[in-house]
Amino acid sequence: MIQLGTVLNNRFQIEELVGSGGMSLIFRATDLVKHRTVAIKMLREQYVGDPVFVARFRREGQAVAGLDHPNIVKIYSVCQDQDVYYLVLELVEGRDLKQLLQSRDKPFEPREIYPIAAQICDAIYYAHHKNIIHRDIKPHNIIAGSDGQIKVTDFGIARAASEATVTHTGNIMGSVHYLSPEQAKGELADHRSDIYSLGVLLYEMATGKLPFEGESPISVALQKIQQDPVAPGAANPDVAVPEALEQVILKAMDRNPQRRYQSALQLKDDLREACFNNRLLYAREPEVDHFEDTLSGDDLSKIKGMGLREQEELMAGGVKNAPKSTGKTAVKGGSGKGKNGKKPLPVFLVILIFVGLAAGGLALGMYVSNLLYSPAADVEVPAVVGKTQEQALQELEASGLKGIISEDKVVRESIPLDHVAIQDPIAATPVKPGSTIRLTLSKGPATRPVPYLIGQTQQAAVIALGNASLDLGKVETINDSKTPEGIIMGQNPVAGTPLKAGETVDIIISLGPVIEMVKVQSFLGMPITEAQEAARSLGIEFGYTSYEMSWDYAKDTIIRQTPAPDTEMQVGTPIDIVVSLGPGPSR
Amino acid sequence: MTFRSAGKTDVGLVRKENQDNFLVLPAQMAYAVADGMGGHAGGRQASTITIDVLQQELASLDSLDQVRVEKALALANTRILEEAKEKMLEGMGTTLVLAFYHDSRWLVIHVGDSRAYVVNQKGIYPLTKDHSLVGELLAQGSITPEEAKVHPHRNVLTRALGGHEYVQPEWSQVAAEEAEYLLLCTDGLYNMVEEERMYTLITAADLTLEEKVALLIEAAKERGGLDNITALLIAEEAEQ
Repeated sequence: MIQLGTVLNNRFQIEELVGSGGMSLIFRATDLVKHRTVAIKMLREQYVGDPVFVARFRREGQAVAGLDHPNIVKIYSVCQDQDVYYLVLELVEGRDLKQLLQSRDKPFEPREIYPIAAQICDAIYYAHHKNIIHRDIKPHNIIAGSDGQIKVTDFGIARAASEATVTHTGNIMGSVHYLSPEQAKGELADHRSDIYSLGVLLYEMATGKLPFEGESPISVALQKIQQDPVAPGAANPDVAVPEALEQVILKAMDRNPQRRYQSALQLKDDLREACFNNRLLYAREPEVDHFEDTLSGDDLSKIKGMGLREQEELMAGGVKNAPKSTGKTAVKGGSGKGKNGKKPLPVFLVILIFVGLAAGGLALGMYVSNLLYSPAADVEVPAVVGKTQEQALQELEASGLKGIISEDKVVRESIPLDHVAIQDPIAATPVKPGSTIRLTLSKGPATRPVPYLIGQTQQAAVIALGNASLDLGKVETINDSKTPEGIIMGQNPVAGTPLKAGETVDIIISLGPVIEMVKVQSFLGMPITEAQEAARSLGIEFGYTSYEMSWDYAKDTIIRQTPAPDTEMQVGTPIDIVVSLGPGPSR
Repeated sequence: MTFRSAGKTDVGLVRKENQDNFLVLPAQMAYAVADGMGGHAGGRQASTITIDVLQQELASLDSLDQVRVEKALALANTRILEEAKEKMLEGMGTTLVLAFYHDSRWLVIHVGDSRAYVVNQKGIYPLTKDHSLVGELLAQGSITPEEAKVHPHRNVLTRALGGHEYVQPEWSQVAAEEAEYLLLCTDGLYNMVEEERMYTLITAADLTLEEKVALLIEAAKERGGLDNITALLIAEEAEQ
């Protein structure tokens, strides 16, 4: 380990070990140049030998160094002194949220939660705006200053760490409690993964418990993927979590990223309402187009708790609308504890669901009543999802059913534009002949704009593309005198082009200028017009031109040039010249 | 290297108001002359603002460089535009010629038709090219120096501080050893007094710099004093 008192790069004097993480050690140090105290985050020695990891650590640090926000620990620079790789960070005095949570004997009150969470939301929102995803929001990474100022640290570094950790030890990271289900599944994290992690943090602050407990990180990860958490209100018998706050936490922690808050600002707004007014701005309602996802959500556990007949009814009807009804009822009525269905769902609630449905949409309601009061259905709905509109309508007609096309379309990654994305009711449902089947068409796969990559490094581009679920395509390298080596100077397609997930973007990376030396031509004594002509024909550019009085050189002739004649210069270097203002030798 | 200087500004015999200004920063070895333009007190304000900004931006520096000077000019330009907008004094502006000593050279920046002259044993030479319609016609060779002197649009400037969102200054320089004297002046001097006369006065023996400057101004008034007159004369401090 490095010795205290060591001075790195003749600048940072190491003073004290103040913390350590899985991949790094953190020291307090003095910046001898700027005369300030900083934190030095040093890569642990075991990683130093891996050039891939080291490069990643440095480049991630550089990408994150662009973040400048009062609630984000500032990275001043990314440095190396021989075998020591380190980041220079703003030194923040205070305790991390983990220590803060451990030091308390009761959970946080809503009025205590909001000021902390709001600052985290601000930090995350800002970073998301800059296309940086934290990926590892957890109490350990949140520092609370004594003045109440919250600072989020370790932005983006988590990606470097997790990738490396997998190759080095084969383990998942330690902080699996805060990971989103998609991260636990090994899928790409997006900004909503941070929202999920923040949801877990809120859960822990509000209840004093973690939403999923298990013997091993793997079992916790599995629970996350398969189950919804115990509702915060039911997590700790000693704590009453207000209804609205519970809804906020559950929405943030929804297993389907599309049903979470779509931005940290939305979460912040709802938190404020929930913590101070016990109400919500953004109702927790499912999207109509995700039958499977919804089914695997709250509903699955509800269904498990029901009788077989109730299940069938619910499946045949609009099960996807069930949480909407219960959710609203719960919030408005202020009574919905234990919604996630540990007990069998009472029959009256099922009826309530259908009442809600009828109120929600007349067509659907009619269809449902059709179902309820016509048990003797004699036609099975054919499967038309994935077929073209015409084909689907034909097949329905052939079965003696009527198809109607819904006005709205939905995004479906796997279904081409204008093919059927959703049919309602689903295939194989028994219905009366002549029933109406609602078809919703696909908008095709979602597109996302290609990010602007020019001026970035390849590593930063890979991160930006990854965040947009795009891949790096061909990488071409060419010499360019105007772009430094390693910097992207071109991309195809251009920024803003809509692409589908997994499509590729080609880049051109500069190799820097061609370094070819030539002997410098002399222009001394030449009239400026003649010199300009000569330079043009030689492909030489004149740089800065200044004027000077001279009694040795005639007016408008060249007195001096930089670089001087007969020295060596790189091809393409402009030559600065000094031109005589006169009066010249004749006078 | 140290320098002595003497400067004087005079309203002349015809104008009611003196819109000229000058500045001496001995520690920075920097000297400037400004000639305001625009009626209704605008010209006077423009040249005053410029000299104030230069004083404020440059007087506290240990040494000057071209970047700092250009920044100060840009700031002065912005202040003039702001003031013009605020006080509805549209069209106010000012010339500026500023010289500072750096690394054995005089670096001179100018905008408009105020001039820097170099005076040595060989003669008197204008270091700056006027940013005026006449000056540019002359530089192109479209008119003769004789025609220039009587051109009806002698007072039309092509560049000025406060004239445009961006300043377009021009740099010139001279080796300090060549400049026995450096003279900064407004057109009120050089339009009235022929260069031979200026040369004689500046190189006269047994006169102090102050006396020389006073005589230059008197010469301009003797010849009509049609405009405000400013002269700032700089010479190397004689070694004792």
